[in-house]
Amino acid sequence: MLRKWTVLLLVFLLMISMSACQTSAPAEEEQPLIAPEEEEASVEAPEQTKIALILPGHINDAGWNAAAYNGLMEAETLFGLEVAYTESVSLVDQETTIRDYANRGYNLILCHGNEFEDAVAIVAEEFPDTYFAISNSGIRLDNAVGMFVQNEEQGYIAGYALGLLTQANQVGFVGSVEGVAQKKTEAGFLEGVKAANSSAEAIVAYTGSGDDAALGKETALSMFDRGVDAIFQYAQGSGIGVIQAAHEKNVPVVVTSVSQKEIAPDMTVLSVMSNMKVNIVSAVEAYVDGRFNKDLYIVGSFASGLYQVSEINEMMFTEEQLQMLNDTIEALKNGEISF
Amino acid sequence: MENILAVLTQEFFYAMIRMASPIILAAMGEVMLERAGIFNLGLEGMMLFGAFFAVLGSFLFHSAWAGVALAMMVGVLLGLLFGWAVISIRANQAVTGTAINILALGMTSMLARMIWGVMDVPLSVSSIDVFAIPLLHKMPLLGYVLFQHSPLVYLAYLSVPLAAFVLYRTSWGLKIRAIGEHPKAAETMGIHVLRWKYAMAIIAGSCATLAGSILSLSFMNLFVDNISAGRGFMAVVSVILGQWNPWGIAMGGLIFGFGNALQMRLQSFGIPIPTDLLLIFPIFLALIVVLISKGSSAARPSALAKPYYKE
Repeated sequence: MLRKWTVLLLVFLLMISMSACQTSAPAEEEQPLIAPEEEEASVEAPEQTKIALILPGHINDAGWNAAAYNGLMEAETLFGLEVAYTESVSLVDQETTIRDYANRGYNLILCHGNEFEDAVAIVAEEFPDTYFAISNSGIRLDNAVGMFVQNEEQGYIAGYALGLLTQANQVGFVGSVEGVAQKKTEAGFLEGVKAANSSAEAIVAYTGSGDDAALGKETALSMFDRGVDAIFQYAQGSGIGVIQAAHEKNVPVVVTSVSQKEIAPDMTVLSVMSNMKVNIVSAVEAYVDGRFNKDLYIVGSFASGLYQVSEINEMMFTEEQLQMLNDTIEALKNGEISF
Repeated sequence: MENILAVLTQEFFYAMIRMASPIILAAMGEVMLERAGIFNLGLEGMMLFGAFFAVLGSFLFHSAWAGVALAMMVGVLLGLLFGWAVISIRANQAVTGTAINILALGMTSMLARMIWGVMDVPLSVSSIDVFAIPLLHKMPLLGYVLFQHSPLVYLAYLSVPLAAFVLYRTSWGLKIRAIGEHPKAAETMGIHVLRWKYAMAIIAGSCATLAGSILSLSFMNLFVDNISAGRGFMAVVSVILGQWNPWGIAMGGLIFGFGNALQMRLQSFGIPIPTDLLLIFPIFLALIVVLISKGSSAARPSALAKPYYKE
């Protein structure tokens, strides 16, 4: 008897939680649905440009998705557009979500991640008057362009700074999961190290996880054990462990955001941050200016302001080295060093 | 070849011992539970809960040990919850365990965001320092490898002889094993089967959350989403690897520690093997050991994962 009641109770709880999920999910998606209809009725005459952003994750991830969302919000205020976004679009929902926005007359649809390439290629053909942009991609169709990111530059400046600092001529790179962006950053890192110190050797390891901080720490420790005396973390959540290992063992570390400096305040060499919102804003700007076509080339780089170096720890460098580092940053900004 | 031998430094063995410790501690709780006939796949989630609440406790009370205490309390509650589901309700054990894993992943991330907000860098709390055992840590070679760890790491290794002693040398152990083999017979002998099962569920829960606090408070001093990253599953595998014997399970845990420590070093030595292959090396090693150590079917508790109906 008791068992029956508990089962009933569980079923009841399950139903409540499911219905809670259902009401919250459409509410989020409907937001863009309702807004345009009202808009059409009221402002019929000068048709407003409508921009949609499709994200693979949540806007509060303090990283990849948050940056794109911030870019969209900035574009909204800068250009007075009508904007909408959808979060956490999984692979199977990509095509439907994109087509839905295209159907509803959105002019520019921004897809945040190169995993959207296939879905965009299909939908772009059906809607020749709608424009599409894809982050971190090199796609080039009649009405779809990729927003390219020069990941190499981020790795280059990290490698260069550490190459200057290393005494043992062993510089470490810890990545998360081997992918296009990671491999490009690694390539830039290797070049940066060589440029600063031709006899230095770059040692590369991947943790295979974007959130295993403990493993990141162990990986860094194993590198120090091997003789590495300067390290770059490019491993998201795992990288937190790398910074902590550097802090404990007093090894200079290059971080990828200003706030990461808190973990190793004395050992942080510099922070080289990528601000993805720059690319989103440039894509929207290009559309507003009527420059959005097949030949549009959006590149996120030092030159475009996507990458920013800050928090340079001047105590670590000699005056000469500091000069070399600043010159390199300038050269990257001018485009004298490019990939 | 010289290269490969150069990998085996003191630091290597130190890393191996340390990385194996949360797996071993969680596995010791698990073996007590499995010996009593319950299969807990929710170890991963329990570890994650432990890692989170340890950091929360340390954050709230400004003391790492308060964090460990809070993690243990949560472990007791989780053990009771799991026990209630699989012992009293007789829910499917694998499904319940999986539910705990899913719940843990979502709930810890959500709570962390609610309490600390969405932060670029997780909040650091006070952590547990390394405690070098007096005299012993000065021993040549072994001193550093074995006796300069966090107190929780020692606890993990002490749990091995303790579990072995309780299981094989005490009447409690006999009762637990009897329940896992033939609960009906045990009941007729006057053993309170359900009570023992609950007790083991609580032990398994608190061992798992303690193992989680090793991750977040002694390896690190912070919580990041999914910090357990599969170690709970490795503990479940270790139990099978070790054929439900605490000593064998400790070996199983050490194999994972060894594999991981070796994998990281092989990567940094630039050995031309794809990284993805090296990353699965610990699992691969475990698989090989399972295949060559021919386990006897007798080692498995006969009533494992079967719900028990008291007449």
